[in-house]
Amino acid sequence: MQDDSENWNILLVDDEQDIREVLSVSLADLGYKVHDAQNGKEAIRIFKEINPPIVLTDIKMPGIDGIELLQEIKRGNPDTEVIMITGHGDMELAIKSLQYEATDFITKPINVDALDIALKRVHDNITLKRKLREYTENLERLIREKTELQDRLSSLGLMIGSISHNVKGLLTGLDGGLYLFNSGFKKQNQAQIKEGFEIVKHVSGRIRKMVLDILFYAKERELKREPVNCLDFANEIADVIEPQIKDRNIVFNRDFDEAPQELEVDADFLRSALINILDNAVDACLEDEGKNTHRITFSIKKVENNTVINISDDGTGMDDDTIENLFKLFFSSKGGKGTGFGLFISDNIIKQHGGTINVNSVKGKGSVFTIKLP
Amino acid sequence: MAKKILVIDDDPIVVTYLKTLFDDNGYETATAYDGTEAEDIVKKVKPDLITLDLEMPREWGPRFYRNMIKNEELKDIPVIVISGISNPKHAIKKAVAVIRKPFDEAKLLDIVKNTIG
Repeated sequence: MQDDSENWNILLVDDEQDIREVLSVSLADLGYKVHDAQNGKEAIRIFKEINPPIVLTDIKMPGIDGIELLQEIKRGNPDTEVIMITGHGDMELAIKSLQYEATDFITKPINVDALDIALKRVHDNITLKRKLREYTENLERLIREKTELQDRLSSLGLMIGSISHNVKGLLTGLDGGLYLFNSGFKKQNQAQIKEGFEIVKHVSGRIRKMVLDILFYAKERELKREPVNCLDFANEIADVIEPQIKDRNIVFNRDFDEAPQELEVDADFLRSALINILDNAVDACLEDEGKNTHRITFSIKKVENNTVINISDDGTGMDDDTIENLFKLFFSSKGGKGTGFGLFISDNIIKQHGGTINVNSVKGKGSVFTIKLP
Repeated sequence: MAKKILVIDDDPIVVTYLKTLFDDNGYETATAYDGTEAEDIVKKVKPDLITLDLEMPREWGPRFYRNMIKNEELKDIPVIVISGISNPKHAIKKAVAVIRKPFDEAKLLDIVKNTIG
């Protein structure tokens, strides 16, 4: 007991100097660091300054009395343990102080043993409260961890549900490519063999991108930045998109700086991020019944020290509600076709690269996505 | 005369796949990438069988089907649903068969052969 009371602050309040002196000595002997005050006003000032765990106060004092002081202290810090000192015949006041959550009271003249017992009780209280707080915090932490885990699991479940449709489409595409390849061989049809091969290449690129999306979501991965040739990178992405719009009345414009440039990026992830946006541009054009032909422009340019990537389409465009929720996980404007996954990931990847993404869209006119990378 | 199959799917790869598969097996084929386009083509081509995806931009498969059966000339064309959605069974009640993507080529060809020969 004495050990852990070492250096504990105790605030002693009494208007009688003798009592303060005697008690100060006893309390110092017990190992406390004693601060004393001769009235309520001074006591409140010291209390605010040092926030002592224990206060020992007389009840009857001129000015602010012990009961008022007790209330004030409990308002300031409800955990403070307050022992009241009462004179003879103050039983009513003593009981009142207990109602205001004083820990205990001792009577004058002060018996040191009684003081010791009261202090022991205070210590027990403090230790108990401390343990309780620890348990509560642990419990809260456990609950928080459990909730986080649950959230993670349920959103993983949601994600798997939402991508399974795409996976089925991709597997069918892969079957298709292999079939064309195989049947082309049998018929010795070079063009079909080539087409089959292109399909397999394209679909495996898509599967690769989807797996990376899942990995990105399942575990925040550190970026693996490597220098990449900007023009090659841009053409590679365009090559993934173009087969999808073949014969669909969409003109695809590549607008890249011809001058050799390097990007210091995680090419796998940034590619995914841009393909997600381009995919949306394609969908927006296919959905749009307003025009017969559509145009998608994909440009990458160096502007001052930034790389500015622009993806614009003249498809359906978006309403304000869609724009507002665009980057939220599981938000999709494409009904059963969308996963609510693409732009959430794009946004994250671009931010991880220290970049920004801006959207400009007018319903019925089209959308422009502008990505700025440092 | 070769029987005609109309392939309706929004995924160009799936369309190419099915078209080649049917061509290789002695059928004639026509293709459409969504329900709206299919509505014109089905009237022009009058196919003997249709393979229909359910989820497509613009016109959904089920809506295309509902419109089609309102037309006396077209309402008896057999339809095979080929879809990636997990429970496509009830979308088109009178479908000859419902096939889930990814599908088995041999099984699909069997169904086609049993339906139109």
